[in-house]
Amino acid sequence: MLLSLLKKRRSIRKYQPRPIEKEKIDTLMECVLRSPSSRNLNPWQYIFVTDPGLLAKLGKSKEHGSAFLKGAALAVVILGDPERCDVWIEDCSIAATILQLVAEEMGLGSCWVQIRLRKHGNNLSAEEYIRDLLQIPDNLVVASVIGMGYPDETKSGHNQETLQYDKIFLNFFGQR
Amino acid sequence: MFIDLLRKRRSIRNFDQRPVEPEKLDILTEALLRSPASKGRYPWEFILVTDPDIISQLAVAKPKGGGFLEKAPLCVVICGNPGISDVWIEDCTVAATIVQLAAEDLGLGSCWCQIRRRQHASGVSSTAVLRQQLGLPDCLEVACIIGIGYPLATIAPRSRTSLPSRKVHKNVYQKS
Ligand SMILES: Cc1cc2nc3c(=O)[nH]c(=O)nc-3n(C[C@H](O)[C@H](O)[C@H](O)COP(=O)(O)O)c2cc1C
Ligand SMILES: Cc1cc2nc3c(=O)[nH]c(=O)nc-3n(C[C@H](O)[C@H](O)[C@H](O)COP(=O)(O)O)c2cc1C
Repeated sequence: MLLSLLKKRRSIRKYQPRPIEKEKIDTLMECVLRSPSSRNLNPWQYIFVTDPGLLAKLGKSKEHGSAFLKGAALAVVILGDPERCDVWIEDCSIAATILQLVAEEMGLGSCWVQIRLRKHGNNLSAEEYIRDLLQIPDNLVVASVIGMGYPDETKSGHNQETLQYDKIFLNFFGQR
Repeated sequence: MFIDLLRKRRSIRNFDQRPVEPEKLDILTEALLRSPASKGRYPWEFILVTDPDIISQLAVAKPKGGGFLEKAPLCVVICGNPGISDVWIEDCTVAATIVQLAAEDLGLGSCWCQIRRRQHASGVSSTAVLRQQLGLPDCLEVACIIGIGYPLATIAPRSRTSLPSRKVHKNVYQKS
């Protein structure tokens, strides 16, 4: 059941050096291409990065929260085309979520790196930094990067008691 | 397997009138609350609507592409607080995707109704209309509504060959 996957999932940022098998990468590619999008416009594109030099450079995308990519076996850079669809943020985030759940099911650990609205440094956005690194054309924007690999840390799933049930309302705001 | 679920999933807009059982509602609720969010800030709130009168109101909040909600026995209104997270759109989308996949896993069908950036027939934003209808505080934005129910008919899965595989690049962006 999907719920059992959700019960144990956590963000994993430490990975074993072992590469991800080609069949698994092929499945990940298939799954992101199956990601639904608004009006089926598919405004996304994906760059699958396995080159260690590029992974190390992707790790420098942001001052905080991207360094772990250096140790990832794979980073999937998710690009959106705002001219193709105005709700590309949603479309790209759906693909990122699907990618993480498929990775989890295949025994991989993963973590999201937010790029949209994030800075590389004082004068450069994280997006501009990655655009330059991966030769991304100007009409595309970088939404996020999902890093993954075989996990080298274990974390227990969140306890049901810690879930924020106060955020659920029935029929009307404030009603439970 | 979760991957098989992705392979057969399609948007479902025609539903049986059979209500969603309380046990399934509980599972969908837990799935929503298990959604990860940027910096662990969880800027979302969810309204589960089963009241037919309120559902009829939701169905007119966005005339273009929102009418199908009328026939959905369950609507999940996904709201986000931009004051809590600047990437609330991403966080709300993660939860919307997870609830759709959890529904599919339970034998239910679902379809996304986009609300952010969309208008009511009067020209005011769909969000403003929903704020009134659902008593939402001004600090909440509505991302989308997910309509859920037992499917009236099945839709053929997409074939692997129909997927836009030129949208996957390896290591750097390759111009086609
Ligand atoms: C971000 C997003 C917004 C969507 N908005 C609507 C909508 O407002 N109304 C609707 O009927 N379908 C909506 N859909 C469903 C898409 O039209 C559908 O996913 C797409 O055409 C692909 O078809 P499939 O899901 O059957 O594979 C939306 C989907 C996404 C991902
Ligand atoms: C939209 C989004 C953006 C995120 N961005 C980052 C990031 O830039 N760097 C990072 O290390 N983790 C990032 N995360 C992971 C969250 O910090 C993590 O999901 C959250 O703290 C909850 O922990 P858990 O996933 O282990 O349950 C992001 C998660 C989401 C959903």
